[in-house]
Amino acid sequence: MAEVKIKMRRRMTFVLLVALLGFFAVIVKLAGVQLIQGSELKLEAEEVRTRDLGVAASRGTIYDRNGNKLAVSITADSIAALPKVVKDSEEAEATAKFLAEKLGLEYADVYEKLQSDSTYVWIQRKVDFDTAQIIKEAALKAEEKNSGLLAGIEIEEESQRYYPRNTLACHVLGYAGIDNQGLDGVELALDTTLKGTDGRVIGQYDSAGNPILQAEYDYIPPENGYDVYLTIDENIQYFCERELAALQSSEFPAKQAGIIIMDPKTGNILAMASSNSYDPNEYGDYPESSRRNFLVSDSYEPGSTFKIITASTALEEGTVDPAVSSYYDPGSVSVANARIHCWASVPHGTQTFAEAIKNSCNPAFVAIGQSIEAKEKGLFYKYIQAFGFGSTTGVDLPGEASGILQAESNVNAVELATISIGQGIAVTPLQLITAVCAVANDGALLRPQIVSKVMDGDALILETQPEEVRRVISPSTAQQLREFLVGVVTEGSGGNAAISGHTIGGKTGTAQKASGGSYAERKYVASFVGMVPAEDPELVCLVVVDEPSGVFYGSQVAAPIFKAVMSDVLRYMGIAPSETADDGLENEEEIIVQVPNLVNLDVDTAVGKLRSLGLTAEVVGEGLLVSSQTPSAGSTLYSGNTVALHTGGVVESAGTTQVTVPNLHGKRFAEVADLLSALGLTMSAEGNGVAYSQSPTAGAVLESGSIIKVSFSDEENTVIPIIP
Amino acid sequence: MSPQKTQKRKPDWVLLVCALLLLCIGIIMVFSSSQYFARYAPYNDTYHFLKEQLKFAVIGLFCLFLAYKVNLRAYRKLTYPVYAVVLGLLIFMLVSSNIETIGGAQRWLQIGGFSFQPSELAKISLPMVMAKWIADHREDIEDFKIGFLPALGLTGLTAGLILLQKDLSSSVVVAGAGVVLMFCGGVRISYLMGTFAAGVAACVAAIALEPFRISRITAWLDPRSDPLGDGYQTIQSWLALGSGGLTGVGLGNGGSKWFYLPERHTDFIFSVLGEEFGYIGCVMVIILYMVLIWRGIMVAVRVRNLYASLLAMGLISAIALQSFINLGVVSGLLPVTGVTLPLISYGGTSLIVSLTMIGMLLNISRYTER
Repeated sequence: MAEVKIKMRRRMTFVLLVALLGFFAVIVKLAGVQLIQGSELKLEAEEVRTRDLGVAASRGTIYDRNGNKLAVSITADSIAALPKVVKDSEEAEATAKFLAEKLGLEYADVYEKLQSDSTYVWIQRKVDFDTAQIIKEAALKAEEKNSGLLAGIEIEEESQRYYPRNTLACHVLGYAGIDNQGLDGVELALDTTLKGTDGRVIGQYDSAGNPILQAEYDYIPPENGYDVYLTIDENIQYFCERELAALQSSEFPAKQAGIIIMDPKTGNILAMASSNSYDPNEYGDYPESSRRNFLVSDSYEPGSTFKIITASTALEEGTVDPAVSSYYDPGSVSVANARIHCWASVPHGTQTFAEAIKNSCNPAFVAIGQSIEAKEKGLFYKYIQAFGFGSTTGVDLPGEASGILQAESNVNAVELATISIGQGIAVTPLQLITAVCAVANDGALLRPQIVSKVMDGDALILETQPEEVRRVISPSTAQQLREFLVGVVTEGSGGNAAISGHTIGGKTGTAQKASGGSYAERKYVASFVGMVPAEDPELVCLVVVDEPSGVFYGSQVAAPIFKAVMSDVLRYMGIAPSETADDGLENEEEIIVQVPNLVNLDVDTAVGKLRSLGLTAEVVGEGLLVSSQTPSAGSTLYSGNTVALHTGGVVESAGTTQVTVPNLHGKRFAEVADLLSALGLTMSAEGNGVAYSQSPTAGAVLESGSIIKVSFSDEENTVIPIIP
Repeated sequence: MSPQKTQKRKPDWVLLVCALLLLCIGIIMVFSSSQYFARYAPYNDTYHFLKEQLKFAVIGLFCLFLAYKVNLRAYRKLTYPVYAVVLGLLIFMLVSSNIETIGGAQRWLQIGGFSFQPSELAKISLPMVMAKWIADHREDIEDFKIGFLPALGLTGLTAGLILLQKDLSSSVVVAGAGVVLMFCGGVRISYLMGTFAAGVAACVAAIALEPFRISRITAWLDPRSDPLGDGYQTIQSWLALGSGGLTGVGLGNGGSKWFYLPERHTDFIFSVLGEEFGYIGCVMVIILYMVLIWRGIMVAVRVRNLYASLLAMGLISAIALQSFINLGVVSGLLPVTGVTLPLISYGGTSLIVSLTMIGMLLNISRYTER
């Protein structure tokens, strides 16, 4: 008995020792896992639990020089899918069918995307508000019914570029792509300035992908893109586009036409318009050719407008003496074994230097060119290059061409003779106006500028200053030449450009287009370049009409466009007619009217108001209320001119004006205020910064005049967007 | 030699304190590990598991008190009825259709609104029947037919029925307690060695029969070979433990419970503890278990009554074995098998049975010689 107990106690003690040994083994094993491998495992665990998500920076706004918005970022809904969830729902076919129908896509394409192996696929990005709303509602209903339809379909809010003025200044602005990347124009040239730096949210997530709210977040806020103010003036741009549209809708449209207006004292481009316009909001719907900014990217033979360069050089180098030199035009001139004809059917006979310019006489300019070359071989070329030909101007626009300037060593007497009259050399319209601006700016060549300043909110980041590239000719030469150019308008080929009360210096040009090595029959580029006031020019304007139909001389095609545009521009700019002006024209009996404020008026009333002032209206859009107008209120116009009325998205029902409430989320205070006032709604604001909630919500239909409550929050406090 | 002749002393307070400390740590860890996922459906309540565990703890402490108060003679008298009832439940589990299947195994019995695991009850009933059988046949215990075979039969029958429910780990715990009692009761070592050899063969057979056990063995040897499959649990456990390092990330700050670690409030609760309290916390809890086991075995060693001594030894062996298997699984020392950590893991049956066993040990501890 006692023996059994002793044996038992021994065995029990043995069990105790084995048990304690077992637990000790666990302690040793844990030391390996927690202490030796600990830091390694900790890193691995953090990697699994942590996710780093991008927070898109908001792309900066593009304004005109006066702060009018030309390109803004708005939010748009994109439709995406989580294929795994869709497959699990067993409603993939129905979902694909529904989406294909609502989004106007092919069923097979949508189905294939829903079946893909990736975790996340875009179905369609940036769909319109109504479609997104339909899908949202359908998804909500399906969820209530537990049907599985649209399970795994996500609607993401994305930033989208919006160009409120549609086609206005489209070639200057360019456009941004689906990922808000600049693809053309200023959008491309200043992409890094506009796009900002994306922020990041580094947060912890559970294995189902839900964010852990109580865990720490590392939030690196996005640095929003800078706002860019262009040198473009929306109203001047509009005047140009209006005249180009008039030309193209006339009986004799051209292949294409363009206008550039610059301030010669600063190099600022105030307008750059091309007839082949497109709407950057729908850039994909237009052919590549429409999107091309030919004023910067294409070269043409300038013809007689280039004679300004020839004349400047000769005057500066003293190879002509305006008081003494005389030129005889027998109708043509032979150089080496070539014969160069004058354009006029009746020879100009004996002319002074001033008369040669007025007459734009080819034989005279061949002689002037030869006189430069006689003084020093290569001198003319030196000036051509000094005026900026053969190299890009350095404007902040993409795709700039440098023109075609033959290598000097290849240039013989014939070619030099043709270059003297603007043939055998190809220049971009921008190069030409930049060179003419040097004449207007007392001989200093400035870099043409499209950006006036860059702002970060209220802080000025950069303000462009006039940049002198080089001095080409002396002020006195420039002034002398301008006097001769006034003669072109008052007495010579530029008569159609004359504007009552203003002294205008200018030069017409009509160049035959070369094609396949020879000059094409009946294909011309007509142009006119002018400056005003000629004594001390504030504006230089170049009109280029490519392949006009009907009449084709610069004096007949381009000069009248110059006049039409500049009449409005001068008045708009408040440049007073000079008393000394002797334009040889009777003051026309035209009535100057002031454009009234038409914003928020219904379209019929606005049109009526304009009609009573003798103005015509051009309604853009299908809304019922005027959301903006060009030119703006307070501008002065001659009666008979057109005012463009932009309308917002307003619908009418049952006789009263009803407005669909827009989605204001993420918009800044000013944007919301603009938008709501354009829709005739009253804002009741709370807070400042970015809109984060609104009442009633987007999509509600209200009578205009209703009040919308909008809550704003400072950007710093904005709720971090969490995308699971 | 019978219990009533021995003077009753005070119970082993160290044993009780260890058990209560582990219970408190358990309640805290159940809350910490479950609060994140309890917010989600179907629970929708951060405190769901805390409330449940508190309820179980109250019932368990009541059972502990009851088990402490019941006269030891009553246990001895009730041995066969209790064993028969548990055996009946285990058989019922096999034939009944009223069962829930969890993780490939049938373990739960539902009666009314309650569901419990009959296999847990076997952790009490087998030590009782083994202690009675050995005490009743103490003179012939070295005999093969009278001592060894019936003892092996009782153990094998119970463990076998549990194994048929595909609950390998509970089966091992119960069989282990039976073998320890045979060993301590005086069964010849040679018989036990033979049994051990047969047991190894049975284990191999059991593993070969159920494919899911093979993959668990390979995943045990190298969890990284199947990180998203059978190695997943071990790797997640290591990630949790490793994140804790020496001192831990602090109570409630662990991230393994964000759905990464499976069975975070039950089988792998120790991983969460290791993450939040570090190696120091782990070692302290393991020391509490070691003290508990030491005091439990010392009760068996010191009590004069043979039946009481063997009952105590059986009970503490079951607790020790289950704790060791759980800790071994969590640390990667043993292949993954679903077993709770006594007194700490969430779970009604497990907690109530564990506390009842502690109550019985405390009861017996009053009859020890000092």
